[in-house]
Amino acid sequence: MAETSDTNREGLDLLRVGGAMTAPDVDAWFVREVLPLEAALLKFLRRIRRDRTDVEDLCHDVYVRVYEAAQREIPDPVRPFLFTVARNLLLNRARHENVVAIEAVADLDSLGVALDEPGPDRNVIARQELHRFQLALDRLPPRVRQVVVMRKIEGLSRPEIATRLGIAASTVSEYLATGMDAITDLVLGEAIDTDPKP
Amino acid sequence: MSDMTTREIRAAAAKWRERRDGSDWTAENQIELAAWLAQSPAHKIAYMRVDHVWQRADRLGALRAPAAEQRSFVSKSGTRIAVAFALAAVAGGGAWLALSPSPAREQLYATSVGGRETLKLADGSQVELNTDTAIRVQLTASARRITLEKGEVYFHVVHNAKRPFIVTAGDHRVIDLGTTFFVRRDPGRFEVALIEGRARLESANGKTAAPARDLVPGDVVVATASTVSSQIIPAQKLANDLGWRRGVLVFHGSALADVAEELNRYNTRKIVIADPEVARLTIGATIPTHGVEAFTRVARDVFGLRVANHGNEIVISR
Repeated sequence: MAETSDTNREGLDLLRVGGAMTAPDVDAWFVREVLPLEAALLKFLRRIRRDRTDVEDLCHDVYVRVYEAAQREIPDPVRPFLFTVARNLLLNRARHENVVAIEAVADLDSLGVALDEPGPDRNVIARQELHRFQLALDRLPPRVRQVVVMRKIEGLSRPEIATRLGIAASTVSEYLATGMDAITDLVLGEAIDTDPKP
Repeated sequence: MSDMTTREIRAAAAKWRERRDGSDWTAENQIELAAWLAQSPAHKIAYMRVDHVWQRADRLGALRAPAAEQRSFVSKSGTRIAVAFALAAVAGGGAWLALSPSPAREQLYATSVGGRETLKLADGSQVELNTDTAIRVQLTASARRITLEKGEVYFHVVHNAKRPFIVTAGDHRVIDLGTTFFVRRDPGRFEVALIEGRARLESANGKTAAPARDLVPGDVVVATASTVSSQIIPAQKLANDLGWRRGVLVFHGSALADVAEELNRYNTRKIVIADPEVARLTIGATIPTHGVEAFTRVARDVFGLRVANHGNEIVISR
């Protein structure tokens, strides 16, 4: 950057950027604080909505709203905020769908008290994670599971996997993407019973 | 909002994430991905979500491997476990760009015009990419190697004599000795500025005539194909040069031509200063990196210049 002298120090100060968090900070915050709440959020949504697709859509809508709010100001604490957003979204839907309205609203009110329960602490989450991941792996279709294990655990490259299994590299990619998509849902979302069974 | 359903968005995000890990991933792909992410927060969130679990899976894989399949695993790629530990995904800034723990393979990171990204390594080192920048990163147990293809990068390096941090840009190489510095590579031009600590600058390939030298704080070295110049710059000026890290450009008594050139690095709408006398006018200002409008408003209202929009060009004249 060219600078010839310091004489113009008092010159034009245009806009200074404020103290808002930058985009990477919000992203990191979201991953750290919001994603761990997914299982609780889904549990809440499923009490009102039975349809799986519907619940997924609602979950994602809640995320978008929380994320957009966080870009203006980070909600602190996040847990009650997240559930307030979910609640409002459900109420809005209920207003548009007369069929479920009464039941949903009643149910919501009965849930109100439980919203501020603390989640499990982070260490517990970390300990549960390996177990969750294993359970998630076990639920994949056999071929997809095999590819994910070879890639993620054995550390083989895509071409190596393709050769070993005698399938196209593009199929390996497809299985990996499918597998990780499913694992993401299971690891973040499913209220898997984390006590290992004897 | 996107027309896709949540299910479709999530599947698409998983595909992007999968592709990004591939050896055929290019800077163009990175820009396409950035565009897809920018289309809708729903895309961005779906991507962050799958990326988060993807990284965790890598980490869990590294943790599990020795017990699971010790012999074949260790003999096949003995260094992988150690490296994976060193790189354990950072819960912090730049999370969706955090490095994946496959050791020998290079990872490519790029920003588009106006973009800015921060990578954090598990050892605490930080790498910030400015606008229109591409780097390749290769992390092994014995070295941390970054190749700057183009653009500007700020490095804050946690020194480790056993695992040197080496930045290569064209014919030049900077080796950290406990350092904060930035490196900028434009076509035909290389610049390094040392902010704190020490670093060594040397030829990367024997092509440059200048001898290796140790940089001290404030040192700014600029090299072109035929010249190398160096000077000591006051700390405040260096801090100003790093204004982009806060999203601003800081100028003191700078020619309008230089201000325009800097802004043009960050914006796809380019400012063209048609008149050499106008180009020589000086200005002191703190301008957001995306502040093309702010700049043209000042040109018009304060300097009384003419501002004409021609598509992606803004021509400033008297």
